[in-house]
Amino acid sequence: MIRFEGVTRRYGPTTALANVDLALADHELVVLLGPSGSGKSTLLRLVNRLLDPTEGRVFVEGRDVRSYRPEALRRTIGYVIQNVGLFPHWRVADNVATVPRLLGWDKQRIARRVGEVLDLVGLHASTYARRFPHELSGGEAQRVGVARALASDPPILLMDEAFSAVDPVGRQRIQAEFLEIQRRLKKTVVFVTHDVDEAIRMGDRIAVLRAGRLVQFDTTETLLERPADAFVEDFLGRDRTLKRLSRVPASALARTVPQPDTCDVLPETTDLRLVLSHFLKEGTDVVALRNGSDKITGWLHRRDLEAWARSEAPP
Amino acid sequence: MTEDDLRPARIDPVLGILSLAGIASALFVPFYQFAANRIVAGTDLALLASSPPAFTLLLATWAAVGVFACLPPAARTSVPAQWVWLLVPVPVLAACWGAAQVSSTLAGSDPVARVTLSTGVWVTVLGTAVAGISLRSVAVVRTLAAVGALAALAAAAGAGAFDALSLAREARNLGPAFGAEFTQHLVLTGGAVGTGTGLGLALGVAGHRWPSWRLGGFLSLNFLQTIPSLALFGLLILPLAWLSTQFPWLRDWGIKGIGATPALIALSLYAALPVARNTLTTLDQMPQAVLDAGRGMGMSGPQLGWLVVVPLAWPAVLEGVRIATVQTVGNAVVAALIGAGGLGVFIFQGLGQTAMDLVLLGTLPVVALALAADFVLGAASGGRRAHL
Repeated sequence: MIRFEGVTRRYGPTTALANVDLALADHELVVLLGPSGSGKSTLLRLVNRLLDPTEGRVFVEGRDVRSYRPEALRRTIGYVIQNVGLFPHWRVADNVATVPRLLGWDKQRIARRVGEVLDLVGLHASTYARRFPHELSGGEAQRVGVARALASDPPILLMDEAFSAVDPVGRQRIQAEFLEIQRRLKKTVVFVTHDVDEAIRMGDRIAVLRAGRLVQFDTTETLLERPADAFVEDFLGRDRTLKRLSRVPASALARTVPQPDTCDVLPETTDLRLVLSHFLKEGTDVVALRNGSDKITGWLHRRDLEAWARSEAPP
Repeated sequence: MTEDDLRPARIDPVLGILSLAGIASALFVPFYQFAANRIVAGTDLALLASSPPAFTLLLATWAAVGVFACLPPAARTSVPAQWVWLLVPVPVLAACWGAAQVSSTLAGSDPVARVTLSTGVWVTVLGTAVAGISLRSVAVVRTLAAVGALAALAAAAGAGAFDALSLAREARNLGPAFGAEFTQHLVLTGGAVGTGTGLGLALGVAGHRWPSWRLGGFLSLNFLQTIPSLALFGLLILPLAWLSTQFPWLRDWGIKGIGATPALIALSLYAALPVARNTLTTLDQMPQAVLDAGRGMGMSGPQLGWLVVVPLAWPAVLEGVRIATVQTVGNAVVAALIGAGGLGVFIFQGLGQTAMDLVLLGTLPVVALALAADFVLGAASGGRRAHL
């Protein structure tokens, strides 16, 4: 769907990207991760031609992006940025309708679609459509930003530090909501962030960049298990084992043999890291898991969790 | 800050003082002056001696304002209290009523005798203005009061109530000259603001596009502002006179050393600065995220400009135009000295003849024009800015 071939981008004497090769599969969420100045935003902006590479080529749907008219290309790619960038003089509905209007949709279709996407990001059109951006909280504005990017139902989404401006609590919620949307819509997403936890929570695959070079491109699990070098290892942090645990739901290690003892009950979607935290705090060795309708679906033992952490732990 | 500081004062200090000053002026300050002709010194007339009913109305109104100032704060800020604003124009109406009465009794039949407005009237106008700003109310009530008062004054003037006032006599003496100079003033102001806005927009955009131009451009405009307008008019006389002798066809276009041309040039240069500065500032402060989002979603350059940049920059630019207009209305007065005409003609004539009524006849329309421009353009830019 998106492919970078030997891409180099220079600004005067400085090289922002050096010979990057990267290919994204359809429907996957790839995180571009790296410290500031690593070239991740530059790489993202090559996709919709906000920048052009100095050398190398970028392909979208198999076509060199330079064969598209930039405006036409951009209208087929959703774009969400850090400070949201909502147009302050337009109401929420007009903001969301930006791309459909540029594409010349008729009014009824636009109105219907605005309602749909606002619904999709969990904002009631009746409450929010007529509001101005300054009447929204940070989280609401960011949701509108996502809705705006999804309005024309583009197959590709570019998200540049999309949730960085939201406070930590709101960020976790909007991340979860976005993952839920992504599970349904299956867009091809390029997601730029410098936040390791966010990368691990969101990414199907993660591309780690450093000083304009692609250091490692792997599934999130592989990245956590086998960092390519000391830089990646360092950047991911020393608690990689805990981070791996945070990607796995408790239900993955559940046993169905009923436990006689009374024990605490947690939702089965709780990640292993939280379960471990629960074990440590309560001094217990087993928890029961319940599903969405409060039925017990299994039990998770501490020894299973520890074995999993050790077995796939990096050498 | 403690909570006590946030509570409104027990007695409203501004309205209290205004009330006292209003009552004192009605009692002790002359409101009008009567003179047998234009040359002799006039005699002062107190309001009570001129018109007892007007005196009573004025005194009662200021007393009512005083009583209102002493009401408990909760009552002063209540919704019905907003209607108190209707009282605001009453002192001015009373003073005008007195003027109509005194002028018809004293000077009505004698065409050279004159009644002039004096200190008390101007104190009343000033007090009314301060009261209008200080009292809080909704736009509906304020508009109602202002329109009502203006309508009453216009009706009275139309019925000839003020015809015997010296101001009206001077205006009648001038005849069509007044209208002509008023129009000329509008032409000078409009032309200069129009040209200055164009120039200011161009400079602002250029300064934003090419930051290296900024220093030079704004230094020269700032420097221009420090030159008194009269001096700038004078400075332009020489080069323009030289140009018109070198190229006689310029003279056919009306371009010469004195007259409207140098005035328009100088006034345009003055008007350009506020527009240029506001344009530059608003363009510089245009949120980058918004422009990036617009471009990233596929707006073309012209679409981005028309749909995003212009609507966002427009209130600030209009604010610059407002400042330029108010400033130019005043500056255009001086243009009369180099033969450009305008209301300044009467002001300088009046100053030369020590005829204060003539000066007022030039000044009052200038003040009214400036206030009107301020109000209209302020409302236009403020209304747009409200939700940004």
